[in-house]
Amino acid sequence: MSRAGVESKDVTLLEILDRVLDRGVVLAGDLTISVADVDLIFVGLKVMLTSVERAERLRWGLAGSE
Amino acid sequence: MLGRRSALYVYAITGSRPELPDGLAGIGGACLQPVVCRSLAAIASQVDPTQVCPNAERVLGHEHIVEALCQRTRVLPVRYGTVLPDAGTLVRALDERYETLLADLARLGGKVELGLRVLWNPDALESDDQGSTPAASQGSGEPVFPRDAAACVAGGRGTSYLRLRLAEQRRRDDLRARANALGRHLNATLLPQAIDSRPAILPTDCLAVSSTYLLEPTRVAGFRESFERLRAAHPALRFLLSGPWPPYSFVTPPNDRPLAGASLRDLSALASALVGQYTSEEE
Repeated sequence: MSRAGVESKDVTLLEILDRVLDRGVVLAGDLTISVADVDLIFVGLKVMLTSVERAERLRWGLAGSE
Repeated sequence: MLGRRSALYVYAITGSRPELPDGLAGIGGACLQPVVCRSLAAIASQVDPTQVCPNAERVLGHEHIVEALCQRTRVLPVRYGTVLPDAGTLVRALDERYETLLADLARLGGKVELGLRVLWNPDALESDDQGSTPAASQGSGEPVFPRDAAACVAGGRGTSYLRLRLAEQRRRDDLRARANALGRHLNATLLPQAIDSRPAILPTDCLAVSSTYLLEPTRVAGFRESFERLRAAHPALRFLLSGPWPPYSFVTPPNDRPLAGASLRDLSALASALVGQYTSEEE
C-alpha cells in the first residue's frame, strides 16, 4: 500500500506499531498465553512498552518543533 | 530445548478460498498456509514459538504480509503475536468467534483506514486565552471553571495549593473543550467522505485529536484533498495523515476486552504498572 502522506519513517513506524501491536483481530486470547513454555503475555507487554516509548519520544519531538 | 518447536502464527482472516501471494514467506521463513473453518480461513505459517518475541523486523514483516494479502483478497488483519499450538486449535478459535469474524469480513473486507493525528502546543494555546482559535470559538458544551475561580479561595492555610489545583483543573478543562471543538470541526469536513471513524480526543496534552477513518479505497484521494484544505486553514496546528492501512482499528473487539480506541495514556499507565513485573521476569 502507498505510504503517501506520511511525513517521516518514524511516523510510519509509530503508526504501524500502533496498529499491528494494539489493534486487529484477537483470536481466543487465552490460547495464545502459553505455547512451548513461552509465556506470550510477555510478548504483548514487551510490544506495548516499545510502542509507548516510541510514541512518547516522537510526540515530544514533534511538539518541541512547533 | 523446549518441548514444542512448532506452532501456527496467524496474520489475517480471509474467505475460505484465498489467493495467496507467490513467494511470500512468513515470520521465520515458512510458507503461508490457509487453515479453513467453514467460509473463513486463517492465513498462518509454522513458527518456532520461541522466535516470535517482537522486534522491528518481525513487526514490519507481519504488516508486510497483511498488506500483500490485502492486494489479493478481502482481509481482516490479525494482531501481532497470535500464536496457536496447531491447526485444530486454530479452527476451534475461528469457530468460537465465527459469526463476528464473518460479519467483520463482510463489513471491512476491501476497505482501508487512514490515521489522522493533530498536534498542538498546549502552552501556546494558553497564552491565547480569549478563545480566538477556530476550535475554541465553536464552544464545547462542557463545564468550564469561571475565570476568577482561583480568587474565590481566599486566605488560610493551603490556599496556594488549592489555587494551583484549581488552575490546573481549569487548564485541563479548557484544553479538553478546545480539543472537543476541534474534533467536531474536523469530523464535519472529513466524516462525509468516510464510512466510519474512531476518534480519540486529547489522548495526550500535545495530541489534540487522534482519529482513524474507514474508507472505500476510491475515496482516499478526495479525503486527502479535504485534509490538505484543513491543514492549510490551521497553520498553528500540526497535521499528520497516514495510510491507507488495512482496517486494523475497526474489527470488533472481544467482549471481555475493550481494545479499539485505547488512548496512549491508558497504555502508558498500564505499561508503567506492569513494568516492574516485566523487568523482574526478564532477569
